Amino acid sequence: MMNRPVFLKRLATSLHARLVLWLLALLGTVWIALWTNTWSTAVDTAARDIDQRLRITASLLVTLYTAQSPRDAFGDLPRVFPPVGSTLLEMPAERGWEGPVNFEIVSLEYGLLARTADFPTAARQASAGFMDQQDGDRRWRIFTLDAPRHQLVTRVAVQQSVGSARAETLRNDFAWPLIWLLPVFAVLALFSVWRGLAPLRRIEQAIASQDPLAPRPLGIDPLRVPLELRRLVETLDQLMQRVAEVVIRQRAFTAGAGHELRTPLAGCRSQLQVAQRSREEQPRQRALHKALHSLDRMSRLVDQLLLLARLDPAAPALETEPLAFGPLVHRLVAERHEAAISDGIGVELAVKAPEDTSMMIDANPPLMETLIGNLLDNAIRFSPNGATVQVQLEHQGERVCLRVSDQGPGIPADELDKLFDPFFRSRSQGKGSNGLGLAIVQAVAKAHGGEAQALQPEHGGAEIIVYLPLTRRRPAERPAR
Amino acid sequence: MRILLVEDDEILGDGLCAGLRLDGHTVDWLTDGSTAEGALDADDFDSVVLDLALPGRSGLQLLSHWRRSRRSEPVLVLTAYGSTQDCITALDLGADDYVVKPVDLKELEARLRALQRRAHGHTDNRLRCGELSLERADKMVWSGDTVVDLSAYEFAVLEALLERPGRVVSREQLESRLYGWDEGPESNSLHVLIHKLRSHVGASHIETVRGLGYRIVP
Repeated sequence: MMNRPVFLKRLATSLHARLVLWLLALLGTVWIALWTNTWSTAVDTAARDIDQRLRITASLLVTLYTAQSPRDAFGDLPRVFPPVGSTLLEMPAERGWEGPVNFEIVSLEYGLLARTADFPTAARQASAGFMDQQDGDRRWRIFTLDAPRHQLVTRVAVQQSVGSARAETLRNDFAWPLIWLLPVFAVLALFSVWRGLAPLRRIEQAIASQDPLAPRPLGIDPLRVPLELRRLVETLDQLMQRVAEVVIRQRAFTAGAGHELRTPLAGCRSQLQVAQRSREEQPRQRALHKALHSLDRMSRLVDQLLLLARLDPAAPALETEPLAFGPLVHRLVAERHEAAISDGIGVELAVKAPEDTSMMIDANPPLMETLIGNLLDNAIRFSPNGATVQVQLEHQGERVCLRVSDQGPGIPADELDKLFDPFFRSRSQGKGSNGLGLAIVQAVAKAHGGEAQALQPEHGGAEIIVYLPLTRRRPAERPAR
Repeated sequence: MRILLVEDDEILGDGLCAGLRLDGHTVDWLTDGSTAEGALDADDFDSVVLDLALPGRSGLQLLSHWRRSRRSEPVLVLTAYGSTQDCITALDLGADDYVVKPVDLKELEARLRALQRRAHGHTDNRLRCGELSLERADKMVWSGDTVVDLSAYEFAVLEALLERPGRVVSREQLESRLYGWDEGPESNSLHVLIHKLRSHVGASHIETVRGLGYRIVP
């Protein structure tokens, strides 16, 4: 069983082979049944034909002899005739009918009236009805007709070989065409299996021709696909669509990451070359300092890229723990406020939570800190001097809503939906951004079952809202951190 | 030569500026697309180094604006976008060269020299007029077989004059080439430079054309 030949394995797994085998097996059975049936029917029919012929001949003879006085029947004619076939029947006989019919007519009163020369001797004592009789090397079928009213006994006999010749004729007529039908049916079965499975082969080709780097829908019209395969084709199409989207997203991300790294890399390189060329100490130190600065920028960028990769929907789920969202926001707002005060920018927090100000969520604490931090830094970066960043924390039923609005230039309406794409930079965006901050905000929010949205409030500036689901456990069950 | 650098990244812009200045070029640096748009109309530049991803207006928009308004300064596109299609688009819009970041300073300088050469129809880096000859790449000047030792400013003036031998180069052209926007020239500093240059290469070679400027003759 372990080392089954390859062709057997293919037979076992190929749909074509299976269907053809089943069809051929079915056809073969039907064919054998038909053949056997025809064969035996031919033999039976031949026997019935012979018997019918004997019976008709006997009754004809009786009718002939009783229509006249037995005494006048033949007059001086000899009582024994030469064989009938050779003298009377000049017309060509159908195959199976060549054998002559032999007979004798015996009157109980006058003895033998007439007899053909070949009439078998052994049959002369036969009693009424049909019987088979061996006479020498020949077998005879004999019919004896008793006509007691006319005192006549009529016996008619044909050789059995006549019967088998007839049976063979019938067999040739009916059974042999079946021999030809078998291969014809087999070829037709092969053809119909091949035709019937054509849609499968088409789908297989469509799938085989897919470029793994750029998958696309199969391009098969579902209405031209058999009902049974339609679901398969539709599911495959959806899958290809999703894979294509993932591939495009990944490619855009990789390309974006490359571009994003190239500029600081170029900056670093140019500064190092300047340092190399400078003969004086002060410009050299300055260039080296700038090169270090761009290295810092690159490593920050790499950290952010790794973070985004970790937050990819395809990555394993995050480790989360119950986290008091309210106090965390409070702490970060206070920190940022402290830091931004030197630029003349204030950060203010307003909390709308009547019953529960801790607002427990299931979250990964460092990631949540990054989310809030990015939102605040972003808003501070866009704020002009003397402006205030408004942070609003609201308990909304099953979720918590964090709004951060600034008084900066705002977001152009056509950029609102692209704002969270990695590497997207708003036209109005200031310096020092790499287009990843808000992408990370969105990715963290989504990884926690929430969502981030951007708005253009009527009073100007920009507003980013993050919704996060509140944990279902009561805070009392597990103490807050 | 006088170069306009349009690059929004602070560190890269600073590094390119410093590097090109160390090589003796005069560099003016803009970080914003919209301010760069009119820069070529306001001043004469020998070549432009242009980043594509800029705030305000994109590099490609700038390029097509310049070419539409018949500015023919050689433009070298310096970009983070390395795809062939981006390169083709930029070149077809009128860029003269396309370099993907990060770029080696020496390579950038050589490419700028090549652009400069082509802009003036020269085949190599050597400029000649009579027995005077100047090698751009090595920053060497010969008078006959003797090497002439020049300061960076003197070299820049001689280079500007030798690019168009026999034709007049105006005071303003020379000054803008020497100083850019940063260091405003003192009223007589060009005069002093020309005087020093004459003493190095021979007074008869540099003629003053009154009211127009200077020209070099064999």
